[in-house]
Formats: sequence, C-alpha cells, structure tokens
Amino acid sequence: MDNATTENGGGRILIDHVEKVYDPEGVNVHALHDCNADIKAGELAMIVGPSGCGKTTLLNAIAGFDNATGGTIHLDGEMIASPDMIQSPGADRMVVFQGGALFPWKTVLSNIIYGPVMQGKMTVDEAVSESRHLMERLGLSRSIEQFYPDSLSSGMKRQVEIIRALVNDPKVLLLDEPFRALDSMTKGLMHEYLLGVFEMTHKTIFFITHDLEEAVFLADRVYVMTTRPGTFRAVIDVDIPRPRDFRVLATEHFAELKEHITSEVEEETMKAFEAGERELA
Amino acid sequence: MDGQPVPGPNWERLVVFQETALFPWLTCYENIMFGPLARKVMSKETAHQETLRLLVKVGLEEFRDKYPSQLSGGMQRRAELARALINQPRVMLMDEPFRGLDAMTRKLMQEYYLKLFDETGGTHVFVTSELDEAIILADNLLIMTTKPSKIKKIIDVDLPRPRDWSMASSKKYLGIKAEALELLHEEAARASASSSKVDVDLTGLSGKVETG
Repeated sequence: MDNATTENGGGRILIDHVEKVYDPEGVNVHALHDCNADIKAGELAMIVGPSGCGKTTLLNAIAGFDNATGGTIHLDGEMIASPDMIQSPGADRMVVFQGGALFPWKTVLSNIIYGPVMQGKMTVDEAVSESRHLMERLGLSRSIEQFYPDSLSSGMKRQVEIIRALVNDPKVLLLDEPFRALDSMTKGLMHEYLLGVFEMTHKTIFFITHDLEEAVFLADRVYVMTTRPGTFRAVIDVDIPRPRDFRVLATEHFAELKEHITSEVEEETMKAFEAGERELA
Repeated sequence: MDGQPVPGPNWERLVVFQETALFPWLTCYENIMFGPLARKVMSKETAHQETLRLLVKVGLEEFRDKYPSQLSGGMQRRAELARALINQPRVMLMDEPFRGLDAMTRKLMQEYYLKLFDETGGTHVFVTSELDEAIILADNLLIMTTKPSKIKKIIDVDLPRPRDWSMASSKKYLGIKAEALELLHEEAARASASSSKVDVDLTGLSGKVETG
C-alpha cells in the first residue's frame, strides 16, 4: 500500500465498499451503499451532501462508534471497521462534535488533560505541560485555563475542543459540523485557527459541513455524497495553494470551484426533497 | 426619516424578524390580511384581493389556509414577507430574516425577496452576517465596526438589476467581496484582540438596499 505513512505517522483512511443498514429487521434504513474513498495521510477532506445522506454515519464508522454492515475501513493498513469486528473508538481517531462535548464541571485545563491521563498515556504533569504547549502554539491565552466551559464564547469553546482532541495525538481528526452554530465572523476566525492547526500538525482531517464556502476554503479535496443511501458521487480537488487566507474567498478560481460543488450538492438535495426528506432546520 | 425624528414604531417602518412573528392561531391568509384590516385602511374586499396577489407572488397560494406550524421554515419566511409588504411600508427592516435556513432554501428566499423588492420599491434595510447574501441583494453595503458601532464604510454595489447568481463570479462582484472581506477581517481581529473578557464579540454586516 503506497502512501501509507507520512513523517508524522500516517492517517490514511481507506473506505472500501462500505454499507450501513440500520435496523434491517424493522425500519430498514439504508444509510450507506457501496461507499468508497481513499483519503490520503495528512489530507484535509471536506465531506458535503444533502441532509440525512449518511455523512455522520460514515464518520461514526471511522470513529468506531458504530460498525459497518458491509465493506471495510482501514486506517494505515489496519482494519478499523467491518461487519465482523466489534467496534471500538480509539484515541487515534478523535472527534470534535457540533454541540461540543466539554465536561461542564471541569475547567478548560482539566478537560484537555482528561483523555491522556485517563488512558494512562501521560501523567498529570506531562499532560498539563503538553496542553499548555498546544494552547500557546495555537494562540490561546493561558488565562482561560481555569475557566469553566460556560464562561467561554462559542468560538473559544471550539478552540478548546480542538485542543482537547489534539492532545491525544490522534492520526485522524473527525469534525462533524463543528462551526455550524457560529456566526460568520467567528467562523472565519475558526477557519484560520483550524488551518493553523493543520499546518502545524499535518493530521488527516475528515470534516463534515453544509457550508460549501467553508468546504472549498479548507479542503484539499471535497467529497460530495449522494442522497440516501449515501455514496460518493464526486471528489473535487481544491488546487488552491497553501497557506490560504480569507482573500482567497474573493478570487475567480474559488468562485468557480464553489459553483461547481454547489451544483453537485444542489442536484442531490433536489433528489432528497423529491424522495420526501424534510427540509434542513 | 425624511427629515423627521422617528417617534416610535408604526406601520411605515415594518420589521421582519429572524424568528417567526406570524400569529399561530391565524392561517397564512388571515395573517397576511391582518395589518391593513386592523389599521382600517382597506376594505375587506381590497384586502382579500391584495392578499391573494401577494400569496401568488410568494408562491404560497396553495398553502393559504395552513397554519404557521404547518409551514416549513422557508414558507414561514415568505408569509412574513407578504404580511409586511401588504402594508406598503415606506421602510422595510429585515433582521437576518433568512438565518438558519439551509443553503438552497436560503437561495430561494433571496430570489423571492429580490423579485418583491424590484416590484414594490421602498427603502429596505437588511441586516445579515452572510457577505454573499448582502452583496447579491444590496444597492449599498454598510459595513459596521465592532463595538462601539459606527459605519466603517459604505460600498456601492453597482451591479445591474434584476440580479442573477451568475454575477457572483464577475470581476466586479469579486472586487466588492474582496474589499468587504478586508474590512470585516480587520474588525473581527480588532474585536477579538480588544476583548478583555473571554467573549469574542463580532460585528454584523448590514446591506442597505435603496431605490432610485
């Protein structure tokens, strides 16, 4: 298997003829069908598609929250999902959720160190030091260390969530519409932040979004999923050089790419509406 | 407004809010009719005709007898537009009216809105945080600073009407977007740098749409 590792230890995700059917004896929801993708190590992959098409199902399969009912998923040559496997999430595949998952009763610092300490991978002192190091590199002030999640703005919460994922040194960062609830301006700052993280760590990123401008701005490649049952209908290369800043958003090439991806997604969304999917909130 | 101080709310300056403000106990049709009848400025017959006309304009004629809870988010927005416009206000104030809608519904709403604006005239002040939405709708883009708010810059959006999505890839459009992005980015950075508390308080973006 070529391209199996980078200097940073890999993160290649091979999605091979993946099927997922929920409740086959009952409601029988066919969420994914013959889903295939080869996400390179260190790639920033943006996943788009109509609502309810199976993107989160795929993320859950990669994360280890739920198994596939057919096909396989390999991470750097190691099987992480198949019908015969007992699924288990791992620190090598960290998820950043839309709603956020910080423990409200723990401070920022306690939240960040929780993972590695709980798993016995670091002592408290090591974890604290690593957390502070990451916070500094990513421009988060140490003064927020002792704050509780409640007193942070939404943008800052997201930044903390991302550090919390990173401190576990995963191969893959899985993000499920993490910036959805944010206003445009905060989102823009979060994009810069995430790109900073990406440049610094070269982790593979699997990022689900409905915001197509966000998709093109961040992506190495944009994967367009069909309506249910989901499979990838197109994989679009975003050949805009890095590092990228917000000025990229006003270029012709960007507009073309966004237009192309928009029409692909709109076609699928129309099919979803016709098939009776309800409108997205 | 027009040289006179604004004394308080009235029908001449109508607001369309982000959250729905339709009366839940009235149908779509009844909601739209409400304003002119309550103000006693139209006969029932005229109000009926006007309501039907607007229902067609916003594509809701088949849903006229539905209650707001039976309408999707996009449909509610359209009913709100009709409900405001039937009063022929001099100024329409829109406060992120399409926020929270999915991308396609939002585009549809913008198309309806553009058509309504072209036909009804009046001055519209439209607040949004979506830059592309602001540019495609606006005659003028008012970019506001972070707190304490001032108008940082007014950008003339010199694109022909009726507007068309294909304009979004034109050099002129992209030039406006580039300029606006610089200004907004400046303000966003200032906002996050200046905050002593942990709150990142960012600006809204206002697009002012004028006739004439």
